[in-house]
Amino acid sequence: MRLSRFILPVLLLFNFHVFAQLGDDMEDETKFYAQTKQVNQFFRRFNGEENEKGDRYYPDDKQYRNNKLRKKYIGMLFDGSNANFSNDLKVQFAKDVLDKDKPGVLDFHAPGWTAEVQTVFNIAGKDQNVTLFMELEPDHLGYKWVISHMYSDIFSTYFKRDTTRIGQFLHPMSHELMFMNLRKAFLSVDSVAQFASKHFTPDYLTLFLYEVKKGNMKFKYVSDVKFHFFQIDGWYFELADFNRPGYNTGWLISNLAKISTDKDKEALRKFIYHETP
Amino acid sequence: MISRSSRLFVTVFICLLLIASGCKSKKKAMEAKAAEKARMEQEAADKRKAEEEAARKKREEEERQRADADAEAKRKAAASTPAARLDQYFNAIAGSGNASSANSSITEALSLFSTPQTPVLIVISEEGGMKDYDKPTTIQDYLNYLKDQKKNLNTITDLKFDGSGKITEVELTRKK
Amino acid sequence: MFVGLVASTLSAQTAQKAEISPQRKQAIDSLALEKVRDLSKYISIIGNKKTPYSEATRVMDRAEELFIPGSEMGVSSLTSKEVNYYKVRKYFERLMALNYDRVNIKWYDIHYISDLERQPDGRYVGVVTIYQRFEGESDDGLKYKDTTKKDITIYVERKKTQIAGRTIEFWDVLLGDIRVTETSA
Repeated sequence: MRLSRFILPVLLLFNFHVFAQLGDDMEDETKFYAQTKQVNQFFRRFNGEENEKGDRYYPDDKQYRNNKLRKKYIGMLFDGSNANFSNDLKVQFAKDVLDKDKPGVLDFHAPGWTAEVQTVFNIAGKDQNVTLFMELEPDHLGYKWVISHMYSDIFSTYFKRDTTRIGQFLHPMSHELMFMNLRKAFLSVDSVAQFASKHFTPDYLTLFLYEVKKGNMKFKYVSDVKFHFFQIDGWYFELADFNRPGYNTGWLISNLAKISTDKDKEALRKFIYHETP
Repeated sequence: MISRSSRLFVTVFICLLLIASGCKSKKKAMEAKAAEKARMEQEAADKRKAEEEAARKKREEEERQRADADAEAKRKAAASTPAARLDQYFNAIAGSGNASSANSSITEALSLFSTPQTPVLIVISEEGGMKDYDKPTTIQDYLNYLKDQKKNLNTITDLKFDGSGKITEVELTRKK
Repeated sequence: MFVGLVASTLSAQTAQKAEISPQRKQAIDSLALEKVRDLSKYISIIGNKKTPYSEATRVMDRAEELFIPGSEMGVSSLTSKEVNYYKVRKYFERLMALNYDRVNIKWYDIHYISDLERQPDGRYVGVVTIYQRFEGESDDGLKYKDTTKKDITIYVERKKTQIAGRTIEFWDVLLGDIRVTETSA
């Protein structure tokens, strides 16, 4: 969808010009009003829970979750430069979300959304990318973010194995010799993963926590954050931050897919977490 | 031969005429007198009315002047109340063009207080009689805050004093 | 274990239903925004080359009082994904030491305040977003301009104190970590 198609609805929604006086510079703040400045603001706009100035609507307010208001907002919550999802798909999505009988509303406190945090750690003197997947979890009087999964290329290589061909194995009568052939099995460290059950899947988070605790991994910085949403029935979307000139900026839907079955949903989830073989 | 009766008649007639004219003139005189009396009474009434009006106006003027004088006195008294004086200091400090004049205003203002640690409570909102406060501070910190921030966002809503007239507690409320 | 399970379920249910009413939220928002404006003013004073060193130091002390201990600034630019982290005091000192002859720091009017969410310890946390314009100029002609978005953590807690023998309840609003992102918007 062309970026220009968003300018008019955005300008119509934000039909006021606010000028900040900066010395002799008169600058238009409209673009800052248009920007979806926080993920919180994405939730509020998507749900129709705030006005164009960012003032909150509460359940008693007439405009709270008003469909007309939501329709105006949804149009501007997509990344307009993304040609990967068609206009038809967006229209279908909006239709489902704005369904009068069963509107799709996002719930900050409910499960079904995950943060994918790209970080850089120093491991053995070298900067390495480490992906942390995080979720909001209730705890005592409030909530907190927790790490639910982790992925890094540097760990995945340790567990690569080819289960299709016949490689090294411990023969079926190994037990009669008190498993003495384990000694030879462990001689070659490269192939040790072959001796694990076919059902074995590594839990990278455990590895990560262990390595950090041992002091082998030193955190450097967060390089990127995006979010995965499965909260709208039958849909998946990704949320990313767009820092660029213009009005189509801030936290915007960067990817959208229709997921018809639970199997599709599970397959997508596994893909996101790098759990597919 | 005019008879004695005719003469009598004429005499009587003349007498009657005289009487009549006498009555008439008397009546006229009485009427004139009455009119004169009425006129005089009217004049007197008018004069009285005018005098009363003048007196009323004078009374009103005096009352107005008294009220003005009262109001002026009240205003002067209000302007010299501790709250008004303190507010003047707040504005002076917040609006001060330079640090040294702000500092001298701060020193002067502090003399109104029992101690520089006098508590200052700031009401940020009130609902159903319940007040919500910002974190309490001290008058010394508050005055320095005004100097740094150059803004006076609050009105003085209550002051407490000790026996020697020094302020022991300040309550401010956020201006709407 | 069963008791533990029931207890944790109950705690999750009671978790965040202690909400702040819209009217109170509005008053707290105003209070939080004032703290953010106070910080902005202090930053302008600290960055101003005309501010004497002793005055800038005093103002840095006042600015630090706005924060909870341990607060940091995370700063990134458009040219690099790398984020540099500074303790707030260090950030102020770096600002004061900038090698420009004239510095102009201004703030856009716009601000956005998030909802207040409850932490496990019961304190409320939110984020205030503001935009700052920075212009630095040297006598030798060096000029630098940027616009940064500042996402400022705010912590809100209901506290009690004794004033003249009576208990006063107040809203304690403190600032926390700040993410500074150069914006090309």
